[in-house]
Formats: sequence, structure tokens, C-alpha cells
Amino acid sequence: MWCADWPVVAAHVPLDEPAAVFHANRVIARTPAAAAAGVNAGDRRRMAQRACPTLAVLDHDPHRDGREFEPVVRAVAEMAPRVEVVEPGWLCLAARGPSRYFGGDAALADRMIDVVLDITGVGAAVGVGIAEGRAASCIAARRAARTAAGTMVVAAGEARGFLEPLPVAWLRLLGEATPELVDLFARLGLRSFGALAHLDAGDVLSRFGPEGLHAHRIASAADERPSAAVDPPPEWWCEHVFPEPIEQLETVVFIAKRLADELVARLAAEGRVCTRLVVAVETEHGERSERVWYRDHGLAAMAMVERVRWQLEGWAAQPGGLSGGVALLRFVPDEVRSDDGVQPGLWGGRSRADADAARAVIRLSGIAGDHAVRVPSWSGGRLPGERYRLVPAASADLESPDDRLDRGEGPWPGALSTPSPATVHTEAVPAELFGQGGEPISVSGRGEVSEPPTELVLGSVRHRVAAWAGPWPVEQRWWLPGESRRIARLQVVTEQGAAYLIGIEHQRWSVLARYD
Amino acid sequence: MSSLATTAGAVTTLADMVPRHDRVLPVDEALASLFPAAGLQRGHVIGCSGSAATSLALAVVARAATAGAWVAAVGMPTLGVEAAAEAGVPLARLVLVDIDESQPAASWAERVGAAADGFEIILTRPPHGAERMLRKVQQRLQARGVVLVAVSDAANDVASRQGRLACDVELATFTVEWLGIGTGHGGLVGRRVSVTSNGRRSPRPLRAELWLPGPEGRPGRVG
Repeated sequence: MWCADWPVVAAHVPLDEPAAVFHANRVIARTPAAAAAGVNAGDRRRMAQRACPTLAVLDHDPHRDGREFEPVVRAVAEMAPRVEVVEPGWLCLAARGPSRYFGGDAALADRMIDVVLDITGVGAAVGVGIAEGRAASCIAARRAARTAAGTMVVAAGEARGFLEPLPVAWLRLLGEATPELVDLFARLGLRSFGALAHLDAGDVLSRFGPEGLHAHRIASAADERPSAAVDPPPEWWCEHVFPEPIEQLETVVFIAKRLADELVARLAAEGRVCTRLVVAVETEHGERSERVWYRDHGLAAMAMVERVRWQLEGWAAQPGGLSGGVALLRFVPDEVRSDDGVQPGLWGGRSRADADAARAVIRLSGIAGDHAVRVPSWSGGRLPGERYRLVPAASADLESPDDRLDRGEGPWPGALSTPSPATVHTEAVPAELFGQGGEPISVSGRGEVSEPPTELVLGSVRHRVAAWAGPWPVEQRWWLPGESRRIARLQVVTEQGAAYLIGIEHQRWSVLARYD
Repeated sequence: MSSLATTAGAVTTLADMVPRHDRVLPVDEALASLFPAAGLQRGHVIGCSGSAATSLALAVVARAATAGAWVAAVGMPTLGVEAAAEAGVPLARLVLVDIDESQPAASWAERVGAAADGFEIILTRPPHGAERMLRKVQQRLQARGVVLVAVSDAANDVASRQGRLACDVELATFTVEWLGIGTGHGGLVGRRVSVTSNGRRSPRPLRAELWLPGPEGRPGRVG
């Protein structure tokens, strides 16, 4: 089951109004109305706003996505025993049993659509695909989401034929292969699944390695489960029984982190990673929540913790959900496979310093609150205060921060050149600027100062101006009436050698940043 | 001495096996002459003051952070993240921790203490009253081998609301000149800073002239 553009559905915006969720300044999801206006996933914010000026800009919030998806998972879980969440908006289940119960694959698919639309509201692009193999059914679901009926059933034995004409780029979309490998396939002329499936598996392995073999298995519709996967013995279970039922989410998350670390370390000692994890939570009143979480290249400890948080938040928000404190938390690795090094290696995520820091972050977030412990995330902009946003560290992936820190390409015209100020004020610090005769300095509409500044007043302290440069005007969001800003910036060095970036807006000067 | 500091940066993985106390964290070679141990001694408190205090603090921790140490910036919500990146601090290992403004000193001590459990470097702008709390956390810093880098505001600013910690190494900065800016033209390009280091264990002050940053955008030594 696949719900297109889940982040906007989770944000509860009306789907017939243009809105888009941005991450790292790029569109990751948009409403059908925005799509109709020409906003595409991957667009930069400015391009999207040019295509659709009334576009509402929403922040990316993986927690919201996870939390809002929980009711959907619960509803589907009432129809099928084992529901596994790949990511919010995307889940997989074994259809054989339930479809017999509901009278056929098509009937099951229709019923699932009804159940999901009940929760998300009509208008969300939901698709259900049923086919042999994970990849084939995922592709079927994504294609179904674009159709009116929202379902697609690929009959038994026809999965290979279904995949044959499709381009290999699907592998990247499903997260089953890296963009580099897909590019390589395309360059070698292996453009469709059919072309790839016709090769001999042994040749593929020797030329492209294990990752290539994995792709080959998918292309030949033989991906029931990876060949290297084994059923984990029960001694890999990790659980924690709380002597006193715990009601604070943070405390449970803290324990979850410990369990996850323990599990990951135990698996790593045998050179394995967990690709499918069952998280079971029980309350003092005997209520139970069990979820299966899947990630194709293995769940790192932080990823496990993140999923526990989604599960609990979603459960707590559910009417008639969680009624008491948590009494038991259990991790059952359902599928593990040998660690083929897809995970970040020694430097990427597993040094002791990284593990220590991640633990301290959880602890600090518990003490000080999520919003007091933050990590930088690139958002782009012309003013020093808006180029990096600070996001809660507890919900950020500390092990692979590339998404968050990737600055994309292209310059920001109008942003100041290096060096950047070492202190950036988040609240306006008022300042005054005077010229030779004691007249306040203003900046004309053409971007010129009324006279050379000679004195900068901060609080009650007067500083002689030794050097200055600018003004550099910047217009922000002039297309949004309520949010437009017009600021002229000036660099000022005082006689003591202190340098400031000051700005004038509505005829008032303030210190934007300090080069200290 | 400079070649020693370079090697120290490259062999941190091996150094992990050596007991923590025997080690110093590496520091950029341009700054090495300011430290008696040619690096940041674990458990030490290093103070940065003057007109380039924050930039110097970032330059001081950059090399160790590049080599794998995590940096917690406690009570520095105004830290320029972009300046940190330009100074060479990998943003992937930078975490900002706010303090509770209603009880600054107590929450500062609590959060510095908690950060000491997982971070090897703590950058901080100590709030008023922190000097009385330092003793509480210092034991933890020393046991964990954490380097605390305290930034204090330029002397002529609102110094009254700041705490001053007793430091093992005190680095005072004085801006000699800004490059690239004139009167009404140009723009800030680079800054020449003279730094004086006073240590408890060094008999006389150590001095260095630094670019913070140089015209090419990185901290470096003048000449």
C-alpha cells in the first residue's frame, strides 16, 4: 500500500489547495492542486513558488509523518496480521491469507482503499498493489495510486512479465539500489528490468557485486526475501520489563535507545544487520501494540529508536489507544542479513565517539526538552540568521546527516560573501547610526546612504566607526504581501576592531550579526 | 613541533586505544604554539576573550572535531553555524544545547555535566554565576577527559551578565586589522588578530599572530 505525497496528507492541509512540504529547500511532497500547477518533487523552493505563487510552504517533520500514519497502520492491521511499515505512507503485508478471507485479491485491495481513505480523507492518492514479490507489488501500488480505482493486481506467475518493460530507475525509487548503480545499468544499455533479468545471475554477481545481484533478483521477480537473510534465533530478542509502568515518552525512548544499542552491537559482532524489526509495546493494562519496521539496508540504532517514537506517539494520539504506562518493550529482529557494508562504514557512523555523542543527545533532550538540543539544518537564504535552521537533535538522523546538511547547488545571489559572522542574533538588537553632524543615517530607495556613518551606538555605548561597506539591499519574499521584507545591510568596523553586520528595516537599524 | 601536531590529527583511531588521560586533542598547527602541550589537554578549561573570541574558539576546536570529536555548544544560541563550518568544524558533529534562562547557572552546570558524558569538546558562553558552578562540573570534565572552551564577550560590551571561569589556558584576542573594507567600499575579507596565551603552567605568555580568517577563508598563521 502506498500513499503518494504522504507528508502533505499528514500535515492536514486541504488537498485541493496548493501546498508543498520542503526539506533542504527542495520539494519532497506536494498536494494534487500544487502538482496541477506544475510543482514537482525535487524542485527548489524558488522554482516551485514561481510555478505557483500561492503555494503554502510547509516544513518537513518526520515525526508528524510517522504519528499521523499510525491510524492507517492500525486500520490495515485489523485486516491482516503482519503489517510492515517501510516508511510513513508506505506499508507492505502478506496478501495471501487475507485475500482468501476477503474473497480474492481484488476484493482485498478495494477494501483496503476504502479503509485508508476513511482515515486520510478523500483526495489522497492512495494505491494498493498486489503482486508476487515485494518490489513488484510496490511498483504496482505506486502505479495504482495514479489511477482512479487505486488498485492494481498482478496475477500469480505474471510478475516477471509485469516488470519486464519497466525501466531500472524504479530500483532507485524503491530504495533498493544506489543511484550510481542505476546509472551504470543505464549506461551499459540495461534500461529495463527485462534486459537485466536476461543476464546470468553469476555474471551479474561477478560484475556488479552483491548489490547488483540483489537488483537482478528483483528484476527476475525472485525477491521473496534476500538470499542472505536468515531467521534469527530467539536469543536475539531484546526486551525490557519496566518495574514501574512508565508514562513519560522520553523515558521509554531512553530505554529503547539502550535496547537498540544492545541489539545492534550483538548483531554487529556477528557481522549482521537487522533489516526487519518487530517492536512490541505492552501497557500495564495489557494493551499491546506491535509493528514491523523494514529498511532495506538495515536499521541502525537511531533508526530503531525513531520508529519506537513514531509508534508510541501514534498510539498515544489514538482514541482508545494507550490507557496506562508502558510496562514492556521488546525488540524482535525478524529478518537479519550479513552486513554488506551498505551502511556507513567506520568513519560514517560507528566510532565510539559517535555512539557516545548520540547517547548524550538523548539524555540532554530528556533533561532540557527536545527544543533545547538542536542540530543545524541547511535551509538557504540571504540573511545570516536564516541560512541554517536549528532542528531538534532527537528527531534528526545523527549518523547520516547528509540530507540535513547538503547545501544543494547554486549560489544565493545577494548573500554576503565569506567570512560569515561568528555570532548571529536571533532577536533584533537595536542600534543607532549617526553621521558627522550627529544626523541619523538613512538609506535611500536607490540603495545609497544619506552620508558616511561615523558613530555606531549600541545600548548606551558609542563606538567610532573606523571603516564601513555597503549598503547591500535585499528584498525577501516580495511576492507574499504579509511576509515581504526590505532590508539594507551594512558592515561596520569600530575603532576597537569589532565588526558588525547591521541592517535597516522600516527606518530602524539593528545588529544582525557580529564578527567576533 | 608542527609536524607532530599534523600526525596527531591522523592517528586518532589508534589513539582511541590509549587511556584517555594520556592524550591531548589535536589543534591546528597554526595555533599549536599557543598551547604548552601543542594541543588541547583533556580536562582543561580554555578561555577565549577579546574582539575575536568566538572565531578563535571555533578555530581552536576545528582540528579535533575534524578528527572525530563531537562538539556541544552549550548556551550559545547565537553561534554562527556557517562561521563554524568555515572555520573547519564539521557540522555533522556539532550540537547546540540551550540553557534555561530562568535559572541560567544551575541549568548550565546540569547541561554541561550531561554533555560531558558524550562530547569530547564543550564550547560555551558561561552565564552569570557559572563560575560558582564550575567546581561541580570540573570533576566530571576531568574524569571524562573533556575540553571546555569558554567564550567571553569583548571586554567593552555587556560584560556584567557573563560568568568568568578560572581557566587553565587563557587566550586573549586583539584585532590588529580588517582586510578588504574601506570607508564606503569593499567588504570584510580577512582579519589579522594577535593572540596572547597565559597558562597556569607556562611561566610567560605565549604569543601568535593569526588570520581569523585569512583572505582565503581559513584560519592560519600570519607570515
